[in-house]
Amino acid sequence: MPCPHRCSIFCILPPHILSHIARAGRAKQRQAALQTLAIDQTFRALRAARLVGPEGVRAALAAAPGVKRRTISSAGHQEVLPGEPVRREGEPASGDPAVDEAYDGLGHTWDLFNEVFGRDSIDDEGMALHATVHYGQAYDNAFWNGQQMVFGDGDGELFNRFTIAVDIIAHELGHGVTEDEGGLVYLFQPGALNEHLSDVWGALVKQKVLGQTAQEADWLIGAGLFTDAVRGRALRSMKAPGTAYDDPLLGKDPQPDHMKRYVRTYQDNGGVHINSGIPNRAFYLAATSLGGYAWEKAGRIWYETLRDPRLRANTGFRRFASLTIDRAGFLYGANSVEQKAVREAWRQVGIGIGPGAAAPEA
Amino acid sequence: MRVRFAIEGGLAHFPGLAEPVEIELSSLPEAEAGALRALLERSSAPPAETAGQAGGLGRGADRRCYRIEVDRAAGPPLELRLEEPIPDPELGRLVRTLEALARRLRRTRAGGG
Repeated sequence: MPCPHRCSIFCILPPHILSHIARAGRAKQRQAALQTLAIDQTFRALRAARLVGPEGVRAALAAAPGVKRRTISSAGHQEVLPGEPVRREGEPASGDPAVDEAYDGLGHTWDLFNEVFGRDSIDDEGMALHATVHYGQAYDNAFWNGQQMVFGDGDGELFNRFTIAVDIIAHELGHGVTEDEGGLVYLFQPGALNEHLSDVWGALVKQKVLGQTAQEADWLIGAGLFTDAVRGRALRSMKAPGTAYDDPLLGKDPQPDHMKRYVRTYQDNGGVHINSGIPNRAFYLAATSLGGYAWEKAGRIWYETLRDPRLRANTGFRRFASLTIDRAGFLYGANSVEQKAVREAWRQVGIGIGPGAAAPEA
Repeated sequence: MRVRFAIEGGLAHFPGLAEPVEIELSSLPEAEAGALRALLERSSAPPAETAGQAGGLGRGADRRCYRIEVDRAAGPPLELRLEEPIPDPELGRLVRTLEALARRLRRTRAGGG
């Protein structure tokens, strides 16, 4: 649960003391310290962006707990946005699986960001969540259009409805979070990191809904999306990239699991859905090495990396890896088990960053 | 008239869908070929703003991109690169028609009948 009181004592504590509380304190102290660190990060990001002012400060202080504000609309099988609203916040289930899955999926995603990371919606300022279902006819996709999520019903031959998997809903909403935090440009390695982060949030939401530890989880993205006619288990596997499907119509899962197999291409915006397999596996390795629930430590480290002002729009794999290692040290201590696990995870996918390497400058 | 059609991007990259499908209009049933020819003629000069937004630097993610290349008997080849959502209804119809045709051809080639 988010701290109901803003715990004003933390306002005068330096970050290293907060980090110590986050590492060694009791559960409630840890939660409060981590939330305060998150707000501190926001202030530093605002300073970095030269946006500090009364409005920016208010925005940061207004973060969490917040309230959900969901609206699910139906496009009525046309390619129109946003369509007609069919379920708003607090209204009972509609009986339409796509509508209710989208409503619940947005709720589960909002809950993860709020309860675990202290974030108030996509923009950390209580943004309303909009999704449109029944988009187009036999439409085989889901996407984030910069303002809302859009879900097709699938053609029934290869794909089921795109709301069927909660991790897909979280993936799309996650794009909104990444975009709000400065936006990794949707091309080549920064684009693959953008995709990777959405898969991370997707996996964490799914695991939290199922109550699974990192060891228990299947680490599949989009399981259930394929019909029985497809030879495949899911869109992607974070555990074993490149093994999710091998189908006569869709082809073979093209994701690499190591930098040695990095794919250089101009397709898919420079391989954003292809090379995301490399950081995806690094996250899986870090989370399973740390054990427990993946959102507690690995998820926290990755979230703080996303919010780090040193994460630029053109950040590539190496810089991102270096930042995760730096954030692990900040949250859990230099040379901590957590920092070593993150460093080792990147080394195993071919991105070796030595203990003496300096963190990227702002 | 020959059309090449490919789908890129979306929630995942599927190599089988990104591989262009060649559609020879003369091999299609008369009515189907006529309907597709009419759609292509109406799409021959789309206003720039109907061609979707540029990928990469704009907002949004996981949008699909459609590549359409048309070899015409007369005139230069037509090349379209459309990113969804496609606001122009005619272009939208063209893409969905080609998508359905491509799905049928791929299924036939994969031995699915």
